[in-house]
Amino acid sequence: MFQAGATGIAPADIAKFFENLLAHEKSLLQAAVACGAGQAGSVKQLPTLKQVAKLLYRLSLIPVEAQAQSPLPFRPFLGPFLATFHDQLTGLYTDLPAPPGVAPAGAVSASGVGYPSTPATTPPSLERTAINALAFLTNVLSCDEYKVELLAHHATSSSSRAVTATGDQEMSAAAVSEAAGVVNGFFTLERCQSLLDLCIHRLLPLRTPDLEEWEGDPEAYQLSHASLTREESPRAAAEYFVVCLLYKRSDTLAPLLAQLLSDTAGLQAAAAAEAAGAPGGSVSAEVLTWDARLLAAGLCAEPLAATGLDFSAWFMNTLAPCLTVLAAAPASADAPPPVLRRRLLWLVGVWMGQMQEAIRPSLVEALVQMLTACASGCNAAVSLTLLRTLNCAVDNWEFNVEAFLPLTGATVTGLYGILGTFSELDARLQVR
Amino acid sequence: MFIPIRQLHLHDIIVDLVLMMWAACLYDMRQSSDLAIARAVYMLHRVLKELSTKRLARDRAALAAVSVQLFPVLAEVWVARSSQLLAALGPWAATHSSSAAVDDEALVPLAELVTHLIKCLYRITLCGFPNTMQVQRRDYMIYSLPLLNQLTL
Amino acid sequence: MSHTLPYYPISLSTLSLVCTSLCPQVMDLLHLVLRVVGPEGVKPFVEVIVAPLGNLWHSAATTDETAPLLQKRVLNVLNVVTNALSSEDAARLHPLALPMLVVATDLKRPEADYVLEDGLELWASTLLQAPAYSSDLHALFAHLAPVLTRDLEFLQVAMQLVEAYVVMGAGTFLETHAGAVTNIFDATVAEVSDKGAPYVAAAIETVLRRFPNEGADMLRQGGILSKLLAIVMESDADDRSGNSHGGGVGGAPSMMDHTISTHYVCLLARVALTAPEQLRALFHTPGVSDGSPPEVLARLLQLVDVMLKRFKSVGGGSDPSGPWHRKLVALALVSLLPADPNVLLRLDAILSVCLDVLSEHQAPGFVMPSLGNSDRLSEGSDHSSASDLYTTNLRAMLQGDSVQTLDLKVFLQQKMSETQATVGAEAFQGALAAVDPILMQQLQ
Repeated sequence: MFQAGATGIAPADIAKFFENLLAHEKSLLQAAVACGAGQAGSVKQLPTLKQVAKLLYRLSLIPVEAQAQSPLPFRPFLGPFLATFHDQLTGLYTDLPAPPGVAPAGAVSASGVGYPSTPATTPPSLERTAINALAFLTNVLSCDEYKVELLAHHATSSSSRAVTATGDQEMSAAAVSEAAGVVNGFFTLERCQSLLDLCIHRLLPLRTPDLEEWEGDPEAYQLSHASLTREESPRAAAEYFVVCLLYKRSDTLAPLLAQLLSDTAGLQAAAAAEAAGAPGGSVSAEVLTWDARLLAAGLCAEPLAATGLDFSAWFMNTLAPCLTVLAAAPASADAPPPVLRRRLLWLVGVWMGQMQEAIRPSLVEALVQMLTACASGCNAAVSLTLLRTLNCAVDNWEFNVEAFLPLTGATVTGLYGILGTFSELDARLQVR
Repeated sequence: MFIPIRQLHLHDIIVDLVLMMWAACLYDMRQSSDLAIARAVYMLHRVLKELSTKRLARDRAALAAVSVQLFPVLAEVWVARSSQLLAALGPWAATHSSSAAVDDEALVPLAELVTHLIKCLYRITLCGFPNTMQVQRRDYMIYSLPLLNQLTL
Repeated sequence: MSHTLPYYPISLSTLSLVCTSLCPQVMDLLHLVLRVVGPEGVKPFVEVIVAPLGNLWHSAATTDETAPLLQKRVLNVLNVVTNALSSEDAARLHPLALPMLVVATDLKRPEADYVLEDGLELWASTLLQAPAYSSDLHALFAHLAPVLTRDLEFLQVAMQLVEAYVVMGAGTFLETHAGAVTNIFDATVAEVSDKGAPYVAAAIETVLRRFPNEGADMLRQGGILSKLLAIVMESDADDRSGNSHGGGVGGAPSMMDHTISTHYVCLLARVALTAPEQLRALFHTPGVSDGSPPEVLARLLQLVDVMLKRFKSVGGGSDPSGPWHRKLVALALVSLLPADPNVLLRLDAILSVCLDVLSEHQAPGFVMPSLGNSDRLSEGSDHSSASDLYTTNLRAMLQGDSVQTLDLKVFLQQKMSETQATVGAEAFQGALAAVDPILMQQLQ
């Protein structure tokens, strides 16, 4: 029944449907923004707006999944939806203040929007639509069927069929070229740069709800943070998009990211700020900004390495001194969450494979010393990250056992010490 | 818009039931009973959702048959109701622009109806006839481009 | 459609698959560290490692939901430590380990499902390292039979435990637990697949090695020998009728079917060699035959024929005890020569088997591999020179094994003379004449 050219549905009807979908989605979002503008900052969210937000999510979901399911046949709608979703994404996050703020200055925390739906849109509760927009951009940018170079081996025939889960799809060279043209025409250098900037400096930094969640229960925060999906969290979706951007546009974007990371003075200032403790027990903006930058650095290790970034040297010259400063800071019960410390430890774990063999023994020794320090009292999120990083260090082909032997006792003592600091056995089991 | 069931080449009793039900809904729509319409659409959504979880080829063919029949009708109904909602949101915003406003929730049923319609269309387009998206016909491209250019909302 | 992005798990910002509660996570890292550093790293810090484990075990027991997860890890850590220590040092852990083992291997407890596997591993490590056979270890054996009667999931480690108990506990062990051992074999011999058969066969062989007569008697009375015989005969009958046995899974059915019966044939061969009375008694068992001489003879000849047929499959692949088993079968066949003139009719085939074994042993560069838990006997680490009871007893047992001590050629000559005396010179010469002359020449 669904042979090409003999479906029960006229193609014109499909086209009309998607045109209407686009038009209505745009109009509805504009209406929602207009309606919600006055509501931003209110404690209770009006039921009508909640329902409109749900409707918008459903409307935007169809093109996302249609494109994912049938990339080439979707190409007539690629351009319009790319433009629309891009504009909507940037529009929803234009008024986002610098971290950690979540709403325009002076407003209370947006109603019903907390962790993990951060960062909140303006107006709030449109996060799921923003997630769909991000998903669409990610899927299109990373779609192999829009890559002309992948059709090279079909040079002898003008068309081929690809077997997919939804059935055979025609992959004519002309179709792929057309789609590739749209994609490359959209994802220009400027646009990619601005999207990267949007993600790293607006979407990735932690916000007040995240920090409150962290402060409330560091262990629970760390565990739930590990299981966030990109369908439920704008930040997780943005992480995925950053990875996509850096891998698919590595030539142009990786050097930019490397340059961003080369601001040693900025990073050191952020570390000093965290070590000193910001007034009022809050986390300073520069700490959160650097947390986001280092997050991007960890996610995109491969493209960064391709730019010639020497991880070992950067670690020894910049990151290790920062960690030392942070570790030396006096621990206090009402200190704000040690964001940068946790991020640096995480980064070391992620990059373990890139570290030169020569520096690994001293790196492991430093980690064991931190373990001992954590055993006597430390934020649980940092302890958990340290455990994970140590695991990466030890569970490694190139682990230097000989050098580690004298540290065994301290490691065991430190581990048992950390065990004692967890207030109770966590009864929540997370299933993979 | 009555669908003559006997003219359909159906092979599954569930498909029969769905279409019989939808025929009844359409009849209801002409009677303009909003509650009946809302319930009918909601039920249709649940049935389509359930059908879309089936994996056997026979069941998928049944869903495809239903989808082909329902799509034009549902698309038209959705456009109508969605336009109605968009038109109503403007005045609604005007009366509810302050943070102290109390929602009279008059638009909530309409918004829910449109949501369920879109959910039905989601199941139909993405699970019901995935292969239809694979049709590459130049004529609809030519047809669709000018329309897209005219979008100025 | 596919995305060529690198695979990232659900949360990208941590890149970690945190899926358990926190304390087990710490313990997992501890376990990893101890495994990686090995005995050299563990020995200097044993006290530090082991001291908190008792408290952890008990505090976990008071927490309903996550108790098994933490207890599993405690057992794992203790297992790594036990394996890293020498026999005497490992014995100092017994007051800590044994109470845990009593809990972990008790199927009546609800947490058994979670901790049983790790409990069994720790049990095996503790037992194999023990310098002496203690009453606590002796009493613990009672927990094993329920494990195997429930299902065969832990067959390998359970059979390893049975072997170790037989080697270490000897008469003391069998006096108390003969019934349990018989039950264990009864539950397994007919149920195992070709993957599990080698383990069961190894355990039964250990019983027969350690107690040739009493062991065979115990197995015969418990119906185990009858079961072995029945399985061997059934497999042979299936071969003859051309059906493939249900035991094989894909591949060439004929080769896989023979694994089980080949292993069991070797066990029966051992009974024939070291406990011929028991073999005779087996052939008189109701169910095996009606006791009349023709029937008994028929069973004997069937067994001889199967041994001859299966000889080629004995010790296949990378089985380190292959040469031993081939010698065993040869010795068993030779030992049966004087039993009846009809056996003599198969002299040609029997001599051919002997020639195969002798040629194998005389081949340049041939070295008889060590037997049993060859890891423990052959590795040059502290274990092999340590004073654990298992290794000591195992060595003694193997050195006293008839298969080791008997010289095949001498034994053959001896049995040929016996046969000649039994059947008379005329029949004997007649049988010799039927043998391939080249074979005779090579045997001289």
